Amino acid sequence: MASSQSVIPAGEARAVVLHGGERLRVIDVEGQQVCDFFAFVLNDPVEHFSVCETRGELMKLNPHVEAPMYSNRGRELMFWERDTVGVHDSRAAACDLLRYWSYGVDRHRSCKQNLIEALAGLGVSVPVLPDPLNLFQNTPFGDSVGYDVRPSLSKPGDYVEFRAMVDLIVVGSACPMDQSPLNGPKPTDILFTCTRVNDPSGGLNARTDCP
Amino acid sequence: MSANLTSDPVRSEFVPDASGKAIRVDAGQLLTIEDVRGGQVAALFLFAPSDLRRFHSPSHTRVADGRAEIGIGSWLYDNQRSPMAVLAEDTSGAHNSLLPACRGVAGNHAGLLAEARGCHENLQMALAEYGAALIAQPDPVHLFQAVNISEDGSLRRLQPRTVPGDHVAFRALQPLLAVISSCPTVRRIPAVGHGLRLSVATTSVDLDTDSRDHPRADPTRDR
Repeated sequence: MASSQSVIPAGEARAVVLHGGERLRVIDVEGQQVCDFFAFVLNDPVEHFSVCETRGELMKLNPHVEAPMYSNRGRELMFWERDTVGVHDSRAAACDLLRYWSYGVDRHRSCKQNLIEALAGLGVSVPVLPDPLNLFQNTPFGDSVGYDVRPSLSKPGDYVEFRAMVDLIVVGSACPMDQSPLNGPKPTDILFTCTRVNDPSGGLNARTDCP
Repeated sequence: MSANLTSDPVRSEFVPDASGKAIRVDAGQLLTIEDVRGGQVAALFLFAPSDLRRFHSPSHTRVADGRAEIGIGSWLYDNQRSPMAVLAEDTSGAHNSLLPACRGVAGNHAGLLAEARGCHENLQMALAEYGAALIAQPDPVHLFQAVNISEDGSLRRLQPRTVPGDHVAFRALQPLLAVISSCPTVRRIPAVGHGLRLSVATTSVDLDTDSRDHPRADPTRDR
């Protein structure tokens, strides 16, 4: 079974190619770190994993384990196989510079900027950025005004695992938010592990595009 | 600021059953969406007319507003986090921004519709009729239909309880191209007057009026 790893340093993002049949494990290395997760169809990145579309297909508030993850065209892109945490968010937009302005911070990395740069690193740009699946994020929305930002509940080593059903570009941003309790005491790293199951080459065709 | 509000519509459109319409709203104008016969769900999309890559994003609105769903006083934001509109009037109080635009029978996985067109197709057709082209599908706000969220996260559409004349009105903060689709999925749910029509009108407010220039302002104040 061939596998490879990609460290996503705190506050940054990485984009990797995940082929159909391969598994991606997103690991919260030190715990309490939100990972904004995105996925795009490799040969047609205008088609992407859509949180809202998945919500409508499953008729559940959030995408969740043991269920497919759908694209903006209603197609199954991934299957969510494992989840050691069970608390994620699918309703909040990715942070951007304006979000940090609202905290009085002028210059700051953001998941939105991270996504643009990670895609550009693979030579990809899309006209409109999709909403993220905020893995490990603990931010309930209620009836009273005020976005309730609570610390992530994940522990060191907690993870989710997805199986790709088509060839994808997956992007993870280790959210740089440090103006609220979102990421616990401070932003930390996320780890992507790509696994190819049933490799007929016995490892000779080891993955090289999951850096 | 005391508003010089006129109630004469400067622009109006009628949205036929199971169709969509695009309407231009200028900054400061009031966009009213009325359920004429009751029981109808309206899917609302707001675009920047100069760039259809910018549109109302419920995920950005939720973070700014903090509530689970929009209500009176909610500011609606686009996907660049720029404020688009304020919900100024609401006789319904039941809306949802959780569900995607429904698709017609050709593209609908869940078999939701027996119709050829859902709100997704209505949006494309309404923009085409207006002379614009969809770049990316936004997430809509479904007006007049609440969604119940169970303990386990299950979603359930609630039957619209609107009566004739129920409406919402949004104050535009920047120029907008609004698209409203009369959602056909409500036909599956028995409702009073289902499968019906919406009317859209705009009124104008003079944003440049300074309160000191108002005819009733104190004439002895310094200018």
